[in-house]
Amino acid sequence: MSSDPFTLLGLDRKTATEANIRKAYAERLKVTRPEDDRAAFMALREAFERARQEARWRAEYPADYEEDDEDAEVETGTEACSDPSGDGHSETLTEQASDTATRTAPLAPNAEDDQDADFDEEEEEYVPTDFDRRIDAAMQKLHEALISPWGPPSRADLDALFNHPELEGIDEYRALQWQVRNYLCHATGYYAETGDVQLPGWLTVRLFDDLDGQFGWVRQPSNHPAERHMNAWLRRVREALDWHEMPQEVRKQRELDRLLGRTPENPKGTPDGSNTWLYIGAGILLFVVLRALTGIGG
Amino acid sequence: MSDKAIIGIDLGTTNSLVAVFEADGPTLVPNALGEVMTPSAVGYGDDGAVLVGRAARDRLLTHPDLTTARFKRYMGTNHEVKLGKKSFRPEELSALVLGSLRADAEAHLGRKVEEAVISVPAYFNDIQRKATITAAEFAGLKVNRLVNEPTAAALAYGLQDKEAESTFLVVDLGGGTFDVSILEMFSGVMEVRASAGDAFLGGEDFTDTLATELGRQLGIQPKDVSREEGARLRALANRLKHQLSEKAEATGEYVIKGEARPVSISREKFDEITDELLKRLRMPIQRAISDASLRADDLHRIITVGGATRMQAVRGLITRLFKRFPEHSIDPDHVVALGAAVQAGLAARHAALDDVVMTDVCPFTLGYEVSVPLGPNQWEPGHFSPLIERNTVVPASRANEISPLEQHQREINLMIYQGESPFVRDNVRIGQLRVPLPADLKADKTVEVRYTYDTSGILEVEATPVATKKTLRLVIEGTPGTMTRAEIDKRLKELTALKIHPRDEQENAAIIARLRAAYENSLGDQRQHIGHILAQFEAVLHTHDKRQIQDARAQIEEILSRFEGEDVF
Repeated sequence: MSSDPFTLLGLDRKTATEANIRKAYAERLKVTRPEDDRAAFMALREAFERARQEARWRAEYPADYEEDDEDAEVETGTEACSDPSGDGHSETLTEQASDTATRTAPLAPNAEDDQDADFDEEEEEYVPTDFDRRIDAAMQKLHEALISPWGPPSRADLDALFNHPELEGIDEYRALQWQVRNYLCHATGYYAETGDVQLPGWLTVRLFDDLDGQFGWVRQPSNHPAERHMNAWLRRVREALDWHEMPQEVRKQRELDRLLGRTPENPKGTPDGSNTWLYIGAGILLFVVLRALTGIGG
Repeated sequence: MSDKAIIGIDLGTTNSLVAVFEADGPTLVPNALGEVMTPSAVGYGDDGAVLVGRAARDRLLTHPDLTTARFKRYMGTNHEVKLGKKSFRPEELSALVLGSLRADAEAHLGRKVEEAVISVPAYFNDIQRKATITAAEFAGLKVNRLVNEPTAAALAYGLQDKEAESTFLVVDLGGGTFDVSILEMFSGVMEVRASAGDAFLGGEDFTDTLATELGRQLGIQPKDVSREEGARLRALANRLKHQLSEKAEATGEYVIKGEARPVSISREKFDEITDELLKRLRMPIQRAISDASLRADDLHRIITVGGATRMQAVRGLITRLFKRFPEHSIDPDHVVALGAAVQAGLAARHAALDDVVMTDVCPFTLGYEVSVPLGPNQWEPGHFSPLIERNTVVPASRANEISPLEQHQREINLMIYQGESPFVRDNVRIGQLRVPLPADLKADKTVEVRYTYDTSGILEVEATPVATKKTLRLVIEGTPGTMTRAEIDKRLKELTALKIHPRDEQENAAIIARLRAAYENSLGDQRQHIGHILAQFEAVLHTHDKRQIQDARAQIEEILSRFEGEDVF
């Protein structure tokens, strides 16, 4: 299973392009159908995904590969089998980096300074398109509505803003989704070093839920690691907001309950009877010790 | 070509279809009434025999206590429907529909059929998928494979141009479920890149919303009306909904307490009351696109599937999202069944499909519950640890190692979940596995957990303690919505004992049911006229003269379609 993906596809590592890889995969797939031979198909699929990853990486960063092409035969072989998950990771990150570079850079009023620093190289080539301008304008409007001294915008205000014909397309929606999340993350201290949730005065539970209802961050985390991380942060923000909006007495009581509630919990953890194992078993206490590096056979 | 016949079935919320793969491609099989769409409705007839399809659907209006429909929505739950004295599980009701489709296919092919490819919503979870397989078993069918509905639709479209290199988006809004899939086609390979959806959103929800609105117009509350009146109001709402796909305004009459009351609904008003439902359509589309890392321009084709995509509001939304019109060159009601037949052809190794391969993905993330450390000796349970990420190509197999929290633990209770939330409470529990650990305190208590997902989207879980090397397989017991082996066998016996209406008498039963429904829904002269026809037809039936009965049916058919064309249901 950890054999070289290019060998399995019958290709030469140095010259194979993504198109070659797809073609080779398609040919082999027709004699390795998923319903016939599960194991063979899974091996072929893995080889295809790994080879494609490497080819994409090579196309994106040809310099990296030219330098050490001499020992590539040996090196990449081991690299590919020891670190495919790392590869996958970097791919998504690259995608995101470019995503953020082209779409996020000019926006999020509060975040501007940070981002300029982050994306300096891209900054020179950056020419705002009509698309970017529309998103910029919408973010500006949202920003103004959010910090308005007259209180946070209502659901109807947000609907009017987001359901504008100019912003209804799926690409606009995606870009806005990124922008608004970034804005919220920035405003709540995601980028701050303390790692604590900060709640700006304008952010209410209702407003948060309206925005989340529009974009669905909390319920449907993305499968891109960076996005998932931000969505998890927003979940924490939601919990903090909940806590914040509770009356003082309720909070006090809860905190007291929590502290008291935890004290009797401690003896549970220590073995105190013959059926402790049953109790623990029923309490589903599992802990991941080792994440296999590769999904298969790790 | 092999001798074993495999049929393709679209088991829908509202309608079901069966198709076979023949030399010139997939073909829909007509039922006893000569129609390709069999309403997914089941009920008892006057003679105590079970009726399936159109006759049962029409009897929903006149005999709501003996008839039921839309049971696909309850698949994977323990919700039982009472028809007369007997309670039916959703699997059993589905089995009756499947059995009727199977009989149609056997009549068409002239031989026995024992194997089928059945389509399910891509967003059906493991429990719902297993329930579908149980339903097929009840109907005497072996499931060769479950195929996701949007994938099936894409197969039907993809076959039109096998060598094309294209990316397409399939938006499938059926009677009760919503799916979005993105597929890529290259050199005969049909690859699903991403799927998303909502298992509880469909055309029926739009009908319900409209029925509530009509009730409001008429000043009636659901609790004030009899089941029969409610069923009629809903049927009227459904008809108006269909009219709105063609016209800007739909009107009808609702007969209540011997009085005909006019109702009307405009397209604008309909859009307004269904706005929330439309919003729910948006999120899965957005998620599929972002999972596949695509932009609107990367999609070559946008295909709509499912009868509910005929609604202008839905088409309008897709057009606005992608800035172009979706295509539907194959009838959206037929395309899934045709695709299921293509998959059946693939499974049967039909020569015409030699150069086509399809790979699908699992639309959900699968994992298990873990505790995460909060501090020294402090653990918080309830966290979800993913093992197979959503949109992984299936079949797929992934393994991971887990350890007990405490070295003296004698057992690990592995809770298996499906979903996207980082907390298990928001995900679907699909089973549990108790893994015994060695008693020895010094033993290695690590357990290897392996999930294997097959092409039908069914999960198999194995757990192997490293110390004992004894592999355990998942036995799902006590999960809400699933049946044990013993239960399945018992129910199967009961089902075989049911008297099913003979296939050749279905046409007569359907005509009578239609006449009765029309009678209920009309007034005055028209009503008398229909009553008269009904009596005449029953008289003809008593002659047992096939020829005469057939002629009478043809005549009534004509009269009825005229009535139905007007405003009488």
